[in-house]
Amino acid sequence: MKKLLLFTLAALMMLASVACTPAPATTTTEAEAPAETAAEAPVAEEPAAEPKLIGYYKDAADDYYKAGYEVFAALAQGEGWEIIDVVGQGTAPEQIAAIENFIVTGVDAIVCVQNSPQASAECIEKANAAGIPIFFATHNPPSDPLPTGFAGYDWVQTGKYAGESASRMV
Amino acid sequence: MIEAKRSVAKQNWFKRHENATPLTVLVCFTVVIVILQLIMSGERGKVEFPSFITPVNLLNILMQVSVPGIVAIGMSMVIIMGGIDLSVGMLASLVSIITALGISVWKLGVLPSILVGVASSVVLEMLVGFVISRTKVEPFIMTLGAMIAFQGIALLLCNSREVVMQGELDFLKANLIDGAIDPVNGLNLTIPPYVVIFLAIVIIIWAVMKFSRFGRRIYAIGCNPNAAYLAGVNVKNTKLLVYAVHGLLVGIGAVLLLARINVGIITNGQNMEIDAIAMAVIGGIAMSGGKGNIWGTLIGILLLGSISNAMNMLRLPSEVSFVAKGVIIMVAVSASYLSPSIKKLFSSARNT
Repeated sequence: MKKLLLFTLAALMMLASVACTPAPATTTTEAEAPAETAAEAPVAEEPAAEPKLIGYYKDAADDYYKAGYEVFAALAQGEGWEIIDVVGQGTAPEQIAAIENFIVTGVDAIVCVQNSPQASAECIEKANAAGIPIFFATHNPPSDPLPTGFAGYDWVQTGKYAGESASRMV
Repeated sequence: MIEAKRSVAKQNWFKRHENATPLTVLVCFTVVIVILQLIMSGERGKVEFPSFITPVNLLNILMQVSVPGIVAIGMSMVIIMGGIDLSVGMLASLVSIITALGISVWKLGVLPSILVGVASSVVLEMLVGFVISRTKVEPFIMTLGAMIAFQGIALLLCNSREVVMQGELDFLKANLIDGAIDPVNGLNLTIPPYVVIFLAIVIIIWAVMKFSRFGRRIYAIGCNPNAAYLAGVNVKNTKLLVYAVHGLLVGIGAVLLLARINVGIITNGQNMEIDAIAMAVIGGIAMSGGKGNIWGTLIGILLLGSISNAMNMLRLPSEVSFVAKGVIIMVAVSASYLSPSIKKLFSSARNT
């Protein structure tokens, strides 16, 4: 149950991070327009934000990964976003191939539950080169190159807590 | 002679041309995906150029199929000879781990590590091939045992962990057309050296199978090993040599896989044997041996490699791609047998 709650929380954090991704450069230019122009302009209705397309990769068919994904998917669909859901079979080449496919499909952001940190480093490089934000869920991504965001546990800290709690009980 | 020509002419198109079936399936698959993409983009309110056939995606597919493709070419040789090899996936993992250890842990240097990795692949495949060619052990069982043993050796060597690289093999994935841009979507076009190596291997093995005495002997053994023996073919040594060449191709593929992933890990070659066999079979290589060619395998490689990608383009969940893969294998294998029945059905419908 605790794990499930953690995954749900991770999915919520992930959605929040994707939503907070900086808007494309063209939007920034619009925002930097002179203030008086904005004031003089008639108050127009805000154009509806274009629905985002998210590529979501899970390393394996796993109940916890799926629970996290389902929360993410429910929230994303509430926003009108579309998700491409890819489930791997626990191999590093599949993870890289999935990220490459997301990039050429033209997704707005990528969420990845990784197979291996080193394979993730390759994925981050590819996503960065294509200018697509990439987020990691559940497992720690590598620290170099840095992903756009991460929601999950610190496995080292988790191990430390487990050790401390075991030592108290012995 | 004239009778023979007439009987060939009477055969349907799929029977006359060896690669007609996989090529037709590939073309039909591409057309269906493009049409579906056009419909989907139309529904979204803006008809766009189908991303499945953009240059960047075609190169992306080539990049993804290069390594399993090299293994599938070797597998085709083995199957044409009447054998099979289930150990290739774990052998690829083992070779990638040996090469990564050579570079990162044993500090042998890049080139010696690659040579050690490839040589170990050739030696291990020759060991398997030696037993298969000298005994009556079924290749299926022998290579199944080898697969499990290779997995164990690989896990022992890497201590069940991943062997991290620092980009020492990046020269194998450098972009040969740096700066080229896809005119459709503006993404960078990439052709890494491993794609060129893959295409070179396809041409070399095709030439060997088509024009060399060694190639003809492989077909002869696949058709009928006893007849080949009576015709003076050294069946045992030819089989051994085929497994050695196959080992060389798996070794090269494993090094290129390591360059692509940048980490030696046991999952590198996982399930690769299934894909390699499927690619060969889709391409028209008969499991009974003696039939098929390397161009057919290339079509099978491209077809199987583009399914997951196409499902992505259609925004379908990955589970669907497994169903599609299975259906396409079944259609590709049975199309040449089904086509006369379909033709008959149409002609009888026309006559009534």
